[in-house]
Amino acid sequence: MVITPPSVASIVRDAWHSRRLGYLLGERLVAKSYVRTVLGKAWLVLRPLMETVGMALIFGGVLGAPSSGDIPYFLFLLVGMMGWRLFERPLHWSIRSFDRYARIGRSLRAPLLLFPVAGAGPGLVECAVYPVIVLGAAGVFAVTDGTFYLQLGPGLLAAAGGLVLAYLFGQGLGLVLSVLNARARDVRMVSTYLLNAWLFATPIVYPISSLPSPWRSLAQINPLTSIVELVKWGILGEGQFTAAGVAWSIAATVGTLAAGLWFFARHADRFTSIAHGQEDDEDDVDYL
Amino acid sequence: MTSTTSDSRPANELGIPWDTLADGDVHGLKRGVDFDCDTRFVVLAARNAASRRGQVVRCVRDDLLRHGAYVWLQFFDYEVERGQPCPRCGSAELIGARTGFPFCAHCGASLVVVALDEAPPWLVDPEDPAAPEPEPDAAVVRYAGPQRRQDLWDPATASRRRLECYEEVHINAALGVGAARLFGCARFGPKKWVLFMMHFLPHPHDDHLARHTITPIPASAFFPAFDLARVSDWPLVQIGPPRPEDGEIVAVSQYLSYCSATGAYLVPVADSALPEVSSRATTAG
Repeated sequence: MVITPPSVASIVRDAWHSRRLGYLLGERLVAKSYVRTVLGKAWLVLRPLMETVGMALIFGGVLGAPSSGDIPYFLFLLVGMMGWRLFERPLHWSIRSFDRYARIGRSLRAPLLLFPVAGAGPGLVECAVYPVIVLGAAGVFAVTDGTFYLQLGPGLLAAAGGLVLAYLFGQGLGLVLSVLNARARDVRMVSTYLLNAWLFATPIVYPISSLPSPWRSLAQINPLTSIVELVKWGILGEGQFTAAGVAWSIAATVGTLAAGLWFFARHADRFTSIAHGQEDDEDDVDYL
Repeated sequence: MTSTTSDSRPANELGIPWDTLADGDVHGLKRGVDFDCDTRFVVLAARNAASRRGQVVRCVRDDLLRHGAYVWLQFFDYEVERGQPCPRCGSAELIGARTGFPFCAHCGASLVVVALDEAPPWLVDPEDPAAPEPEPDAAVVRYAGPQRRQDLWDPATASRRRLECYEEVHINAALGVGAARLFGCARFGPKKWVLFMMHFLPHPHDDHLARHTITPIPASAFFPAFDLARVSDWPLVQIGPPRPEDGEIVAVSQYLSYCSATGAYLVPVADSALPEVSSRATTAG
Protein backbone atom coordinates (compact mmCIF):
# COMPACT_ATOMS: atom_id res chain seq x y z
CA MET A 1 0.00 0.00 0.00
CA VAL A 2 1.47 3.32 -1.03
CA ILE A 3 0.43 6.35 1.01
CA THR A 4 1.21 9.62 -0.75
CA PRO A 5 0.90 12.88 1.22
CA PRO A 6 -1.75 15.03 -0.46
CA SER A 7 -1.09 18.52 -1.76
CA VAL A 8 -2.25 21.59 0.13
CA ALA A 9 -4.70 22.38 -2.66
CA SER A 10 -6.27 18.93 -2.47
CA ILE A 11 -6.79 18.97 1.31
CA VAL A 12 -8.37 22.42 1.07
CA ARG A 13 -10.55 21.27 -1.83
CA ASP A 14 -11.63 18.12 0.02
CA ALA A 15 -12.47 20.09 3.13
CA TRP A 16 -14.48 22.61 1.15
CA HIS A 17 -16.30 19.80 -0.65
CA SER A 18 -17.28 18.36 2.75
CA ARG A 19 -18.18 21.67 4.37
CA ARG A 20 -21.60 20.44 5.52
CA LEU A 21 -19.87 17.62 7.33
CA GLY A 22 -17.55 20.19 8.90
CA TYR A 23 -20.49 22.22 10.10
CA LEU A 24 -22.09 19.12 11.65
CA LEU A 25 -18.81 18.12 13.28
CA GLY A 26 -18.48 21.57 14.81
CA GLU A 27 -22.08 21.57 15.96
CA ARG A 28 -21.65 18.14 17.50
CA LEU A 29 -18.60 19.30 19.42
CA VAL A 30 -20.44 22.34 20.74
CA ALA A 31 -23.30 20.10 21.88
CA LYS A 32 -20.93 17.55 23.39
CA SER A 33 -19.05 20.20 25.32
CA TYR A 34 -22.06 20.85 27.49
CA VAL A 35 -23.31 17.29 27.95
CA ARG A 36 -23.96 16.49 31.62
CA THR A 37 -24.02 20.15 32.64
CA VAL A 38 -27.07 21.54 34.40
CA LEU A 39 -26.83 25.00 32.87
CA GLY A 40 -26.12 23.63 29.38
CA LYS A 41 -25.45 26.26 26.75
CA ALA A 42 -25.82 29.06 29.29
CA TRP A 43 -22.13 28.38 29.93
CA LEU A 44 -21.43 29.90 26.54
CA VAL A 45 -22.31 33.29 28.03
CA LEU A 46 -21.31 32.63 31.60
CA ARG A 47 -17.73 31.55 30.94
CA PRO A 48 -16.51 34.68 29.12
CA LEU A 49 -18.54 36.89 31.44
CA MET A 50 -17.18 35.35 34.64
CA GLU A 51 -13.68 35.27 33.22
CA THR A 52 -13.71 38.94 32.24
CA VAL A 53 -15.35 40.07 35.46
CA GLY A 54 -12.75 38.13 37.44
CA MET A 55 -9.85 39.60 35.48
CA ALA A 56 -11.31 43.12 35.70
CA LEU A 57 -11.60 42.78 39.48
CA ILE A 58 -8.04 41.53 39.86
CA PHE A 59 -6.22 43.75 37.37
CA GLY A 60 -8.44 46.83 37.34
CA GLY A 61 -9.59 46.70 40.95
CA VAL A 62 -6.88 45.10 43.08
CA LEU A 63 -3.77 45.78 40.98
CA GLY A 64 -5.02 49.10 39.61
CA ALA A 65 -4.06 48.47 36.00
CA PRO A 66 -4.73 51.59 33.91
CA SER A 67 -7.16 51.80 31.05
CA SER A 68 -6.68 53.63 27.78
CA GLY A 69 -8.04 57.19 27.69
CA ASP A 70 -11.35 57.60 29.48
CA ILE A 71 -12.57 54.12 28.66
CA PRO A 72 -13.80 52.18 31.73
CA TYR A 73 -11.32 49.39 32.50
CA PHE A 74 -13.96 46.66 32.22
CA LEU A 75 -14.85 47.71 28.68
CA PHE A 76 -11.18 48.15 27.77
CA LEU A 77 -10.41 44.66 29.03
CA LEU A 78 -13.50 43.16 27.40
CA VAL A 79 -12.63 44.45 23.93
CA GLY A 80 -9.01 43.36 24.26
CA MET A 81 -10.11 39.94 25.42
CA MET A 82 -12.44 39.66 22.45
CA GLY A 83 -9.46 39.96 20.09
CA TRP A 84 -7.33 37.63 22.19
CA ARG A 85 -10.03 35.02 22.60
CA LEU A 86 -10.65 34.84 18.88
CA PHE A 87 -7.05 33.77 18.62
CA GLU A 88 -6.79 31.62 21.73
CA ARG A 89 -10.09 29.72 21.94
CA PRO A 90 -10.09 28.28 18.39
CA LEU A 91 -6.42 27.42 18.88
CA HIS A 92 -7.15 25.73 22.20
CA TRP A 93 -9.94 23.63 20.66
CA SER A 94 -8.04 22.90 17.46
CA ILE A 95 -5.11 21.44 19.37
CA ARG A 96 -7.41 18.85 20.94
CA SER A 97 -9.42 18.17 17.78
CA PHE A 98 -7.88 14.82 16.88
CA ASP A 99 -8.65 13.55 20.37
CA ARG A 100 -12.21 14.75 20.12
CA TYR A 101 -12.82 13.16 16.74
CA ALA A 102 -10.77 10.04 17.46
CA ARG A 103 -13.53 7.54 16.69
CA ILE A 104 -14.60 9.26 13.49
CA GLY A 105 -11.03 9.71 12.34
CA ARG A 106 -10.22 6.11 13.08
CA SER A 107 -13.27 4.64 11.36
CA LEU A 108 -13.96 6.90 8.40
CA ARG A 109 -11.99 8.52 5.60
CA ALA A 110 -13.08 12.05 6.49
CA PRO A 111 -10.99 14.98 5.23
CA LEU A 112 -8.50 15.48 8.05
CA LEU A 113 -8.44 19.24 7.62
CA LEU A 114 -12.03 19.34 8.82
CA PHE A 115 -11.00 18.17 12.28
CA PRO A 116 -8.95 21.17 13.45
CA VAL A 117 -11.21 23.59 11.58
CA ALA A 118 -14.49 22.13 12.83
CA GLY A 119 -12.85 21.41 16.16
CA ALA A 120 -12.44 25.15 16.63
CA GLY A 121 -16.23 25.49 16.47
CA PRO A 122 -16.85 25.71 20.23
CA GLY A 123 -14.14 28.35 20.46
CA LEU A 124 -15.81 30.40 17.75
CA VAL A 125 -19.17 30.08 19.46
CA GLU A 126 -17.66 31.29 22.73
CA CYS A 127 -16.13 34.26 20.91
CA ALA A 128 -19.43 35.07 19.23
CA VAL A 129 -20.79 35.86 22.68
CA TYR A 130 -18.24 38.62 23.28
CA PRO A 131 -19.82 41.26 21.01
CA VAL A 132 -23.10 40.77 22.85
CA ILE A 133 -21.39 41.24 26.20
CA VAL A 134 -19.50 44.29 24.89
CA LEU A 135 -22.75 45.85 23.69
CA GLY A 136 -24.44 45.08 27.00
CA ALA A 137 -21.57 46.54 29.01
CA ALA A 138 -21.46 49.63 26.78
CA GLY A 139 -25.20 50.04 27.33
CA VAL A 140 -24.76 49.86 31.09
CA PHE A 141 -21.94 52.44 30.99
CA ALA A 142 -24.04 54.66 28.73
CA VAL A 143 -26.68 54.74 31.46
CA THR A 144 -24.31 55.12 34.43
CA ASP A 145 -21.68 57.45 32.88
CA GLY A 146 -23.87 59.10 30.28
CA THR A 147 -21.30 58.22 27.57
CA PHE A 148 -21.55 55.58 24.90
CA TYR A 149 -17.95 54.50 24.51
CA LEU A 150 -18.23 52.37 21.37
CA GLN A 151 -17.29 53.83 17.98
CA LEU A 152 -20.01 52.77 15.57
CA GLY A 153 -18.32 53.87 12.36
CA PRO A 154 -16.01 52.70 9.59
CA GLY A 155 -13.48 51.83 12.28
CA LEU A 156 -15.52 48.71 12.90
CA LEU A 157 -14.19 47.39 9.59
CA ALA A 158 -10.67 47.65 10.97
CA ALA A 159 -11.82 45.81 14.09
CA ALA A 160 -13.41 43.11 11.95
CA GLY A 161 -10.16 42.81 9.99
CA GLY A 162 -8.26 42.45 13.25
CA LEU A 163 -10.63 39.76 14.47
CA VAL A 164 -10.26 37.83 11.21
CA LEU A 165 -6.47 38.06 11.49
CA ALA A 166 -6.60 36.84 15.08
CA TYR A 167 -8.70 33.83 14.10
CA LEU A 168 -6.56 32.93 11.08
CA PHE A 169 -3.35 33.27 13.07
CA GLY A 170 -4.73 30.92 15.73
CA GLN A 171 -5.99 28.50 13.12
CA GLY A 172 -2.60 28.44 11.38
CA LEU A 173 -0.89 27.55 14.64
CA GLY A 174 -3.67 25.08 15.39
CA LEU A 175 -3.00 23.16 12.19
CA VAL A 176 0.55 22.44 13.30
CA LEU A 177 -0.12 21.90 16.98
CA SER A 178 -3.14 19.64 16.45
CA VAL A 179 -1.01 17.25 14.42
CA LEU A 180 1.81 17.37 16.95
CA ASN A 181 -0.66 16.85 19.78
CA ALA A 182 -1.95 13.73 18.05
CA ARG A 183 1.57 12.38 18.36
CA ALA A 184 2.30 13.61 21.88
CA ARG A 185 -0.21 15.10 24.26
CA ASP A 186 2.55 17.07 25.91
CA VAL A 187 1.77 19.69 23.27
CA ARG A 188 -1.54 20.65 24.79
CA MET A 189 -0.07 20.69 28.30
CA VAL A 190 2.72 23.01 27.23
CA SER A 191 0.44 25.12 25.06
CA THR A 192 -1.80 25.90 28.03
CA TYR A 193 1.08 27.53 29.91
CA LEU A 194 2.54 29.22 26.86
CA LEU A 195 -0.80 30.75 25.96
CA ASN A 196 -1.19 32.11 29.49
CA ALA A 197 2.22 33.73 29.20
CA TRP A 198 1.36 35.02 25.73
CA LEU A 199 -1.81 36.63 27.09
CA PHE A 200 0.19 38.78 29.49
CA ALA A 201 2.83 39.55 26.88
CA THR A 202 0.09 41.04 24.71
CA PRO A 203 -1.31 44.47 25.72
CA ILE A 204 -4.72 43.28 26.83
CA VAL A 205 -4.87 43.72 30.59
CA TYR A 206 -2.80 46.90 30.25
CA PRO A 207 -2.59 49.55 27.51
CA ILE A 208 0.50 49.48 25.34
CA SER A 209 1.06 53.14 26.21
CA SER A 210 1.80 52.11 29.80
CA LEU A 211 4.85 50.13 28.67
CA PRO A 212 8.28 51.82 28.82
CA SER A 213 9.57 52.81 25.39
CA PRO A 214 12.05 49.93 24.80
CA TRP A 215 9.46 47.36 25.86
CA ARG A 216 6.89 48.95 23.60
CA SER A 217 9.12 48.32 20.57
CA LEU A 218 9.72 44.78 21.74
CA ALA A 219 5.97 44.19 22.11
CA GLN A 220 5.54 44.98 18.41
CA ILE A 221 7.38 41.75 17.58
CA ASN A 222 4.38 39.93 18.95
CA PRO A 223 2.02 39.67 15.93
CA LEU A 224 -0.97 39.81 18.25
CA THR A 225 -0.05 43.23 19.58
CA SER A 226 -1.05 45.11 16.44
CA ILE A 227 -4.05 42.84 15.96
CA VAL A 228 -5.42 43.55 19.44
CA GLU A 229 -4.64 47.26 19.12
CA LEU A 230 -6.46 47.30 15.79
CA VAL A 231 -9.53 45.76 17.42
CA LYS A 232 -9.42 48.23 20.30
CA TRP A 233 -9.00 51.16 17.93
CA GLY A 234 -11.86 50.01 15.70
CA ILE A 235 -14.31 49.49 18.56
CA LEU A 236 -13.24 51.96 21.24
CA GLY A 237 -11.29 54.52 19.22
CA GLU A 238 -8.31 53.91 21.53
CA GLY A 239 -5.37 51.90 20.24
CA GLN A 240 -1.80 52.40 19.12
CA PHE A 241 -0.52 50.65 16.06
CA THR A 242 1.74 51.41 13.14
CA ALA A 243 1.42 50.46 9.50
CA ALA A 244 4.59 48.39 9.83
CA GLY A 245 3.17 46.62 12.85
CA VAL A 246 -0.05 45.74 11.03
CA ALA A 247 1.92 44.61 7.97
CA TRP A 248 4.03 42.38 10.18
CA SER A 249 0.88 40.90 11.75
CA ILE A 250 -0.63 40.20 8.32
CA ALA A 251 2.63 38.65 7.09
CA ALA A 252 2.91 36.51 10.22
CA THR A 253 -0.70 35.36 9.86
CA VAL A 254 -0.38 34.46 6.18
CA GLY A 255 2.98 32.77 6.77
CA THR A 256 1.68 30.77 9.73
CA LEU A 257 -1.40 29.70 7.83
CA ALA A 258 0.59 28.64 4.77
CA ALA A 259 3.17 26.81 6.85
CA GLY A 260 0.41 25.21 8.89
CA LEU A 261 -1.35 23.93 5.79
CA TRP A 262 1.90 22.59 4.35
CA PHE A 263 2.81 20.84 7.59
CA PHE A 264 -0.69 19.48 7.96
CA ALA A 265 -0.79 18.07 4.42
CA ARG A 266 2.60 16.49 4.88
CA HIS A 267 2.27 14.95 8.33
CA ALA A 268 -1.37 14.76 9.42
CA ASP A 269 -2.08 11.25 8.19
CA ARG A 270 1.14 9.78 9.51
CA PHE A 271 0.86 11.32 12.96
CA THR A 272 -2.83 10.82 13.43
CA SER A 273 -2.85 7.23 12.19
CA ILE A 274 -0.33 6.46 14.91
CA ALA A 275 -2.60 8.11 17.45
CA HIS A 276 -5.65 6.31 16.11
CA GLY A 277 -3.90 3.00 16.37
CA GLN A 278 -3.53 3.46 20.08
CA GLU A 279 -6.20 2.60 22.63
CA ASP A 280 -7.46 6.12 22.80
CA ASP A 281 -10.99 7.11 23.60
CA GLU A 282 -12.19 10.65 23.15
CA ASP A 283 -14.42 10.26 26.18
CA ASP A 284 -11.26 10.31 28.29
CA VAL A 285 -10.49 13.79 27.09
CA ASP A 286 -11.31 16.84 29.15
CA TYR A 287 -13.59 19.13 27.23
CA LEU A 288 -13.46 22.48 28.94
CA MET B 1 -43.90 -12.46 11.29
CA THR B 2 -41.39 -13.61 8.76
CA SER B 3 -37.93 -12.53 7.88
CA THR B 4 -37.28 -10.50 4.81
CA THR B 5 -34.10 -10.27 2.87
CA SER B 6 -32.21 -7.01 2.73
CA ASP B 7 -32.77 -6.77 -1.02
CA SER B 8 -36.48 -6.22 -0.52
CA ARG B 9 -35.87 -3.05 1.50
CA PRO B 10 -36.74 0.26 -0.11
CA ALA B 11 -33.87 2.44 -1.34
CA ASN B 12 -34.91 5.15 1.11
CA GLU B 13 -35.34 3.07 4.21
CA LEU B 14 -36.20 5.29 7.21
CA GLY B 15 -36.71 8.08 4.70
CA ILE B 16 -32.96 8.43 4.16
CA PRO B 17 -31.73 8.56 0.54
CA TRP B 18 -29.10 5.85 0.87
CA ASP B 19 -28.14 5.83 -2.79
CA THR B 20 -27.20 9.49 -2.54
CA LEU B 21 -25.19 8.88 0.59
CA ALA B 22 -23.30 6.00 -1.01
CA ASP B 23 -21.08 8.36 -2.99
CA GLY B 24 -17.95 7.45 -1.06
CA ASP B 25 -17.86 10.62 1.04
CA VAL B 26 -18.35 10.81 4.78
CA HIS B 27 -21.85 11.93 5.68
CA GLY B 28 -23.29 13.06 8.96
CA LEU B 29 -26.92 12.42 9.80
CA LYS B 30 -28.57 14.32 12.59
CA ARG B 31 -31.56 13.23 14.63
CA GLY B 32 -34.48 15.54 14.12
CA VAL B 33 -33.20 16.55 10.69
CA ASP B 34 -32.28 13.39 8.82
CA PHE B 35 -33.92 10.74 11.00
CA ASP B 36 -36.18 10.46 14.01
CA CYS B 37 -35.44 7.06 15.49
CA ASP B 38 -32.74 5.40 17.55
CA THR B 39 -29.30 5.69 15.98
CA ARG B 40 -28.98 1.89 16.05
CA PHE B 41 -31.74 1.59 13.48
CA VAL B 42 -30.00 4.07 11.22
CA VAL B 43 -26.88 1.92 11.39
CA LEU B 44 -28.95 -1.15 10.63
CA ALA B 45 -30.64 0.57 7.69
CA ALA B 46 -27.22 1.72 6.43
CA ARG B 47 -25.99 -1.84 6.55
CA ASN B 48 -29.08 -2.97 4.67
CA ALA B 49 -28.42 -0.34 2.02
CA ALA B 50 -24.80 -1.41 1.76
CA SER B 51 -25.83 -5.04 1.45
CA ARG B 52 -28.35 -4.15 -1.25
CA ARG B 53 -25.72 -2.20 -3.16
CA GLY B 54 -23.01 -4.82 -2.70
CA GLN B 55 -20.90 -2.43 -0.64
CA VAL B 56 -19.77 -2.11 2.93
CA VAL B 57 -20.54 0.76 5.24
CA ARG B 58 -18.82 2.05 8.31
CA CYS B 59 -20.91 3.87 10.86
CA VAL B 60 -20.06 5.80 14.01
CA ARG B 61 -22.92 6.52 16.38
CA ASP B 62 -22.90 9.64 18.54
CA ASP B 63 -25.76 9.76 21.00
CA LEU B 64 -25.63 12.91 23.09
CA LEU B 65 -29.00 12.24 24.73
CA ARG B 66 -31.01 15.46 24.96
CA HIS B 67 -28.23 17.33 23.19
CA GLY B 68 -28.86 15.44 19.96
CA ALA B 69 -27.69 12.35 18.15
CA TYR B 70 -25.59 11.88 15.06
CA VAL B 71 -24.62 9.01 12.82
CA TRP B 72 -21.46 9.39 10.75
CA LEU B 73 -21.17 6.96 7.90
CA GLN B 74 -19.25 6.19 4.77
CA PHE B 75 -19.77 3.59 2.07
CA PHE B 76 -16.83 1.67 0.64
CA ASP B 77 -16.68 -0.74 -2.26
CA TYR B 78 -14.84 -3.45 -0.36
CA GLU B 79 -13.43 -4.30 2.99
CA VAL B 80 -10.10 -6.10 2.97
CA GLU B 81 -7.70 -7.41 5.52
CA ARG B 82 -4.24 -5.95 5.62
CA GLY B 83 -2.13 -7.31 2.79
CA GLN B 84 -5.06 -8.55 0.71
CA PRO B 85 -5.40 -7.43 -2.92
CA CYS B 86 -8.35 -5.59 -4.40
CA PRO B 87 -11.32 -8.00 -4.37
CA ARG B 88 -12.63 -6.60 -7.66
CA CYS B 89 -9.60 -6.84 -9.94
CA GLY B 90 -7.04 -8.67 -7.83
CA SER B 91 -4.53 -5.86 -8.06
CA ALA B 92 -2.17 -5.57 -5.12
CA GLU B 93 -1.34 -1.97 -5.99
CA LEU B 94 -3.25 0.09 -3.48
CA ILE B 95 -2.74 3.83 -3.25
CA GLY B 96 -4.19 6.65 -1.24
CA ALA B 97 -3.59 9.58 1.04
CA ARG B 98 -4.96 8.03 4.23
CA THR B 99 -3.63 5.00 6.01
CA GLY B 100 -6.25 2.29 6.14
CA PHE B 101 -8.41 3.78 3.38
CA PRO B 102 -6.72 3.01 0.05
CA PHE B 103 -8.03 2.97 -3.48
CA CYS B 104 -7.19 0.30 -6.02
CA ALA B 105 -4.72 1.81 -8.48
CA HIS B 106 -6.22 -0.21 -11.34
CA CYS B 107 -9.99 -0.24 -10.97
CA GLY B 108 -10.40 2.68 -8.54
CA ALA B 109 -12.37 0.67 -5.99
CA SER B 110 -12.51 2.32 -2.57
CA LEU B 111 -11.29 -0.01 0.12
CA VAL B 112 -11.21 -0.02 3.86
CA VAL B 113 -8.56 -2.08 5.56
CA VAL B 114 -9.47 -4.11 8.59
CA ALA B 115 -6.62 -4.79 10.94
CA LEU B 116 -7.29 -8.14 12.52
CA ASP B 117 -5.22 -8.22 15.64
CA GLU B 118 -3.62 -11.46 16.59
CA ALA B 119 -5.41 -13.02 19.53
CA PRO B 120 -3.40 -12.85 22.74
CA PRO B 121 -2.17 -16.21 24.03
CA TRP B 122 -4.64 -16.36 26.88
CA LEU B 123 -7.52 -16.22 24.39
CA VAL B 124 -6.45 -19.30 22.50
CA ASP B 125 -8.85 -22.16 23.05
CA PRO B 126 -6.88 -24.75 25.05
CA GLU B 127 -9.06 -27.53 23.63
CA ASP B 128 -8.10 -26.72 20.07
CA PRO B 129 -5.41 -29.24 19.04
CA ALA B 130 -4.10 -26.80 16.45
CA ALA B 131 -3.64 -24.05 19.01
CA PRO B 132 -0.04 -23.02 19.60
CA GLU B 133 1.45 -23.69 22.97
CA PRO B 134 1.20 -20.45 24.95
CA GLU B 135 4.54 -19.07 25.98
CA PRO B 136 5.08 -18.60 29.68
CA ASP B 137 4.69 -14.95 30.48
CA ALA B 138 4.27 -13.53 33.94
CA ALA B 139 2.06 -10.68 32.76
CA VAL B 140 -0.27 -13.05 30.92
CA VAL B 141 -0.61 -15.35 33.90
CA ARG B 142 -1.46 -12.42 36.14
CA TYR B 143 -4.03 -11.08 33.69
CA ALA B 144 -5.74 -14.38 32.95
CA GLY B 145 -6.49 -15.14 36.59
CA PRO B 146 -8.33 -18.30 37.63
CA GLN B 147 -10.06 -20.46 35.07
CA ARG B 148 -13.53 -19.33 36.09
CA ARG B 149 -12.72 -15.67 35.56
CA GLN B 150 -11.15 -16.45 32.22
CA ASP B 151 -14.39 -18.14 31.14
CA LEU B 152 -16.54 -15.26 32.31
CA TRP B 153 -14.46 -12.61 30.60
CA ASP B 154 -13.48 -14.56 27.53
CA PRO B 155 -14.07 -12.04 24.72
CA ALA B 156 -14.59 -14.91 22.30
CA THR B 157 -17.79 -15.58 24.24
CA ALA B 158 -18.67 -12.06 25.21
CA SER B 159 -18.51 -10.78 21.64
CA ARG B 160 -21.09 -13.30 20.41
CA ARG B 161 -24.00 -10.95 20.75
CA ARG B 162 -26.15 -12.10 17.89
CA LEU B 163 -28.02 -15.29 17.23
CA GLU B 164 -26.13 -15.97 14.00
CA CYS B 165 -22.95 -16.46 16.02
CA TYR B 166 -24.20 -19.78 17.37
CA GLU B 167 -24.62 -23.18 15.82
CA GLU B 168 -27.33 -24.52 18.10
CA VAL B 169 -29.79 -22.36 19.99
CA HIS B 170 -32.49 -23.36 22.47
CA ILE B 171 -34.91 -21.09 24.23
CA ASN B 172 -36.55 -21.62 27.55
CA ALA B 173 -40.20 -20.91 26.89
CA ALA B 174 -40.98 -20.89 30.61
CA LEU B 175 -40.04 -17.23 30.75
CA GLY B 176 -42.80 -16.38 28.28
CA VAL B 177 -42.16 -16.00 24.61
CA GLY B 178 -44.42 -12.98 24.32
CA ALA B 179 -41.93 -10.83 26.17
CA ALA B 180 -39.25 -8.76 24.51
CA ARG B 181 -36.68 -10.80 26.45
CA LEU B 182 -35.95 -14.46 26.01
CA PHE B 183 -33.77 -16.71 28.06
CA GLY B 184 -31.91 -19.52 26.37
CA CYS B 185 -28.86 -21.63 25.88
CA ALA B 186 -26.66 -21.76 22.80
CA ARG B 187 -23.62 -23.60 21.55
CA PHE B 188 -20.68 -22.51 19.45
CA GLY B 189 -17.71 -24.62 18.54
CA PRO B 190 -17.71 -28.30 19.47
CA LYS B 191 -18.83 -27.89 23.06
CA LYS B 192 -18.83 -24.29 24.21
CA TRP B 193 -22.22 -23.50 25.70
CA VAL B 194 -23.50 -20.18 26.88
CA LEU B 195 -26.62 -19.12 28.71
CA PHE B 196 -28.02 -15.97 27.24
CA MET B 197 -30.62 -13.30 27.66
CA MET B 198 -31.89 -12.03 24.32
CA HIS B 199 -33.31 -8.53 24.12
CA PHE B 200 -35.46 -7.51 21.19
CA LEU B 201 -35.28 -3.88 20.18
CA PRO B 202 -38.51 -2.94 18.45
CA HIS B 203 -38.44 -0.43 15.67
CA PRO B 204 -41.00 2.38 16.01
CA HIS B 205 -42.11 2.25 12.38
CA ASP B 206 -40.95 -0.95 10.76
CA ASP B 207 -41.34 -4.43 12.27
CA HIS B 208 -38.72 -5.79 9.92
CA LEU B 209 -36.15 -3.56 11.54
CA ALA B 210 -36.65 -5.10 14.97
CA ARG B 211 -33.27 -6.42 15.99
CA HIS B 212 -31.90 -8.35 18.90
CA THR B 213 -28.84 -8.46 21.05
CA ILE B 214 -27.63 -11.25 23.27
CA THR B 215 -25.90 -11.10 26.61
CA PRO B 216 -24.03 -14.41 26.88
CA ILE B 217 -22.53 -15.97 29.99
CA PRO B 218 -20.46 -19.15 29.76
CA ALA B 219 -22.63 -22.02 30.93
CA SER B 220 -19.61 -23.60 32.61
CA ALA B 221 -19.77 -20.83 35.20
CA PHE B 222 -22.97 -22.42 36.52
CA PHE B 223 -21.86 -26.04 36.60
CA PRO B 224 -22.90 -28.24 38.34
CA ALA B 225 -26.00 -26.23 39.33
CA PHE B 226 -26.95 -26.02 35.68
CA ASP B 227 -27.55 -29.37 34.01
CA LEU B 228 -26.56 -29.22 30.36
CA ALA B 229 -28.40 -32.46 29.62
CA ARG B 230 -31.72 -30.73 30.18
CA VAL B 231 -31.07 -28.25 27.41
CA SER B 232 -32.18 -30.77 24.80
CA ASP B 233 -35.70 -30.46 26.24
CA TRP B 234 -35.77 -26.79 25.41
CA PRO B 235 -37.27 -25.92 22.02
CA LEU B 236 -34.79 -25.38 19.23
CA VAL B 237 -34.52 -22.07 17.44
CA GLN B 238 -34.21 -21.81 13.71
CA ILE B 239 -32.27 -18.76 12.67
CA GLY B 240 -33.04 -16.90 9.51
CA PRO B 241 -35.89 -16.89 7.03
CA PRO B 242 -38.41 -19.74 6.89
CA ARG B 243 -37.73 -22.59 4.47
CA PRO B 244 -40.27 -24.42 2.31
CA GLU B 245 -40.06 -27.54 4.49
CA ASP B 246 -40.98 -25.61 7.63
CA GLY B 247 -44.67 -25.92 6.93
CA GLU B 248 -47.09 -23.49 8.45
CA ILE B 249 -45.53 -20.56 10.26
CA VAL B 250 -47.49 -19.30 13.23
CA ALA B 251 -46.64 -15.96 14.75
CA VAL B 252 -46.23 -16.49 18.48
CA SER B 253 -45.29 -12.94 19.25
CA GLN B 254 -44.03 -9.88 17.49
CA TYR B 255 -40.58 -11.38 17.51
CA LEU B 256 -41.10 -15.12 17.44
CA SER B 257 -42.79 -17.57 15.08
CA TYR B 258 -43.36 -21.31 15.31
CA CYS B 259 -42.78 -23.85 12.54
CA SER B 260 -45.31 -26.61 12.85
CA ALA B 261 -43.40 -29.11 10.71
CA THR B 262 -40.03 -28.87 12.45
CA GLY B 263 -41.25 -27.89 15.89
CA ALA B 264 -38.66 -25.14 15.99
CA TYR B 265 -39.09 -21.51 16.77
CA LEU B 266 -38.17 -18.93 14.19
CA VAL B 267 -36.36 -15.73 15.07
CA PRO B 268 -36.07 -13.13 12.34
CA VAL B 269 -32.54 -12.07 11.59
CA ALA B 270 -32.77 -8.83 9.73
CA ASP B 271 -29.25 -8.62 8.41
CA SER B 272 -28.12 -12.22 8.33
CA ALA B 273 -27.06 -11.81 4.71
CA LEU B 274 -24.15 -9.59 5.67
CA PRO B 275 -20.75 -11.18 5.67
CA GLU B 276 -19.06 -11.57 9.00
CA VAL B 277 -16.24 -9.14 8.24
CA SER B 278 -18.71 -6.40 7.42
CA SER B 279 -20.59 -6.95 10.66
CA ARG B 280 -17.43 -6.57 12.63
CA ALA B 281 -16.44 -3.38 10.89
CA THR B 282 -19.74 -1.63 11.48
CA THR B 283 -19.51 -1.90 15.22
CA ALA B 284 -17.10 0.99 15.38
CA GLY B 285 -19.79 3.17 16.95
